[in-house]
Amino acid sequence: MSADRRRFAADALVITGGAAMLVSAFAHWVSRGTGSGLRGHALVDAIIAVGRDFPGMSGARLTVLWYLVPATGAASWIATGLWGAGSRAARAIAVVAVVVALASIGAIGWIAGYTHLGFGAWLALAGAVTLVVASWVVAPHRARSGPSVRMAGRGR
Amino acid sequence: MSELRDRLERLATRGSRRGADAVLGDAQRTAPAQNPDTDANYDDLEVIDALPLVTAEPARRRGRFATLIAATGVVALLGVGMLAVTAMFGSSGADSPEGAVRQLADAVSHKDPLAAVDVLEPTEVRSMRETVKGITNRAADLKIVDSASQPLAGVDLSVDHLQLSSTDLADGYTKVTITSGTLSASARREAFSHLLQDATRTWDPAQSNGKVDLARLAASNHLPTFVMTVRRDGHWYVSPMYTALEYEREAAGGPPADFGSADAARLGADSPEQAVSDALHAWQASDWERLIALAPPDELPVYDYRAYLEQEAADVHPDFTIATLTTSADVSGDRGVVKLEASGTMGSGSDRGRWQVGGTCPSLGGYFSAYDDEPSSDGSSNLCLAGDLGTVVPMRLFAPEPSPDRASSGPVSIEVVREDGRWFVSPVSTALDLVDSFVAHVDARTIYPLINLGYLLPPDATLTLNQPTTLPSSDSFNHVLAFDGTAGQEVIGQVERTSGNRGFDYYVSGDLYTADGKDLGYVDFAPKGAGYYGGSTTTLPVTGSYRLVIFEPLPSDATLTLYDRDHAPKDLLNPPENGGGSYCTYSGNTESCVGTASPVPVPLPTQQGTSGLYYGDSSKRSVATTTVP
Repeated sequence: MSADRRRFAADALVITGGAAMLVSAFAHWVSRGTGSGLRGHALVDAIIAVGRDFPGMSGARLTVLWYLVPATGAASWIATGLWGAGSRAARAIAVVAVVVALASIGAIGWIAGYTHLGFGAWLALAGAVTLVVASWVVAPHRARSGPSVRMAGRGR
Repeated sequence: MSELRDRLERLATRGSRRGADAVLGDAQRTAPAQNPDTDANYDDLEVIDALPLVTAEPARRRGRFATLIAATGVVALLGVGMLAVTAMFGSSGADSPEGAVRQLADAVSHKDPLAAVDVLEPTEVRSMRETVKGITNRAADLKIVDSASQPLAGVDLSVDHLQLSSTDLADGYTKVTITSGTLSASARREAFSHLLQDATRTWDPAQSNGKVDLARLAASNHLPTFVMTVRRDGHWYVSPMYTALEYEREAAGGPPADFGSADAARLGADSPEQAVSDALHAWQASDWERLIALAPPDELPVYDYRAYLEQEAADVHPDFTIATLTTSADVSGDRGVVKLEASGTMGSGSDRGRWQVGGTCPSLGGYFSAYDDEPSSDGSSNLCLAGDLGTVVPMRLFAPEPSPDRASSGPVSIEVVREDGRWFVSPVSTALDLVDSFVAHVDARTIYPLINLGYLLPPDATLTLNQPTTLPSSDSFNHVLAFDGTAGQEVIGQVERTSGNRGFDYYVSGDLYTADGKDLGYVDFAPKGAGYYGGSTTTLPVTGSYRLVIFEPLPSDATLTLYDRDHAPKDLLNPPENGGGSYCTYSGNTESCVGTASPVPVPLPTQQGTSGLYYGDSSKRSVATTTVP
């Protein structure tokens, strides 16, 4: 595959992954039982209101953590638009996205039950994985700044 | 430099366009051939073929598409930021009163307490959340539910065909009436915790489903079913407090509420201590207006309903005096706890007695002693509340005291809250604190007998048939006793006090189970010399171990004896009412008996149908009346 095609494919994947993470904020993170009647951000708001939290994590921290999910989706678009899908910034954001998505799923799952996790949670995780694939696998690598020809045996 | 530039420019025009690596590689390969006579050493020039020949990504020129992606990302990021900020300041509630009720109904259908909280009045929810959290966690600890996050597992709820209409009562206060709709509930035992499955093992599956007409929930009061909604910061919420107060007012036909009239800055008290002191004095003086003004408007909106409440309380005059009253406050932010100690008298004439809050109250054993000594004759308090009420008050309501042998002492805590710089007494928080404390202390011994699982508890003692047994820690409730019996054996119990007022007849009834939990009815323990139960025995169905679960508290000097019929005292099997045995009366420790101790044959009773039912005080069971020939 040519570099241009890879670049195009990577951009498309970043857009898709970022969109998934953004949309997850408005999807149901819990499929049944506690929290199932609330979509993404409303769920987190209600968790804060009711005072339930993940062990060692306050409601405010949970809010920040969870809102990083759509935020990293949006940030991945910005990085791709400015520097490309294979840029260092895009790769870093992709890694952050996976960490944030996993942590959020862990926290929400602990509260609502992991077997009750809904579409929104899996959408966020899929979006984060897509970002990693796009930035680390599909996007063409930049040329190395060092020389491809060097002097050998110097000092012999 | 110019020479090098010229050579490079000439080199660049030769051959086809290619990369620098290719040019240098060709140059190295062709150099020896072109200059065979030179002894130049090219070994120190190495072509690194192993290095990947990567096409350098040209400097990215940001096209329109890339700019569009970046701009969209910026907009999306701003949107997410706004969502997060609004979440911090609260973004719950609904857009309309009916929307709030529908969202609540949806939450019920989904068994989703979080969604319900989202549309409940935030201040009211805030005061309840720790209590709900404590209850669900404790239920999980006691294995009543499998998961604290799924307290309703196994219960299916559904609100269907909901039709609503709304009436604005004031700006920001709307009554939403349910004109039609049904609430269906069903239970799936297999989804319950193992413990609840045991507790409901005798359930009839046909009775596990139910449906109610939501529009007729208050039909007995000739009222429609309605819910009060309030607007806070532009969002609508269901208010349980306003709903309850409005129901009360409408049912009583009281004057309408003055919604939103409570100005906290003009109500309450200057300090936490004054709020509590004023509330107690206002109560004592029947100053209902002042008492209502000391309730926090955000938490308990009684001020809006003061016209109705004062009308209702016009004829209520508490009969007590305040002799002493001391308070001290511990404040943290806008909340505080006032420690209250007070005492006085209550009642009049022969009913006159003392009341006491704080200080030291007797243990349960002390209360038995008080009975022995005739209450309040020695100046002890008829009403005494002290220390942590969570371990005391529920005991006298429905559940056991976790530490029955310990007398409660210390001041009573009253929660206070500050609104608009004024201090209010918080009855809701105070009551919830009491519930929290009770929940924190409740244990399996408290709960299991209430749900017919007392047989699962480790026995406190093992009874040997026909031998008296004194129970350890006899002041507490919910004793579990084990004994071995044989199939066909008939057993009957007797309770006796070895000291104190032996004439204080004390009845005990124990639920009888096999060791594996089969409910066999009950065994009564009659006071010695007063076998009021007609000598009724309980026949054991199998040979093996049994469990007796006794709810009643026992005096510390009580002994229990479980007899088989062959060894039971004659007056236990043949009590005086049936024409035999002796009848003893006690005064202090002096016993005087009348009648004969000689056994009199007792004909079998004949049942006279099932129309006349007698509710026994001890067994708590209804039995058909019988006539003894």
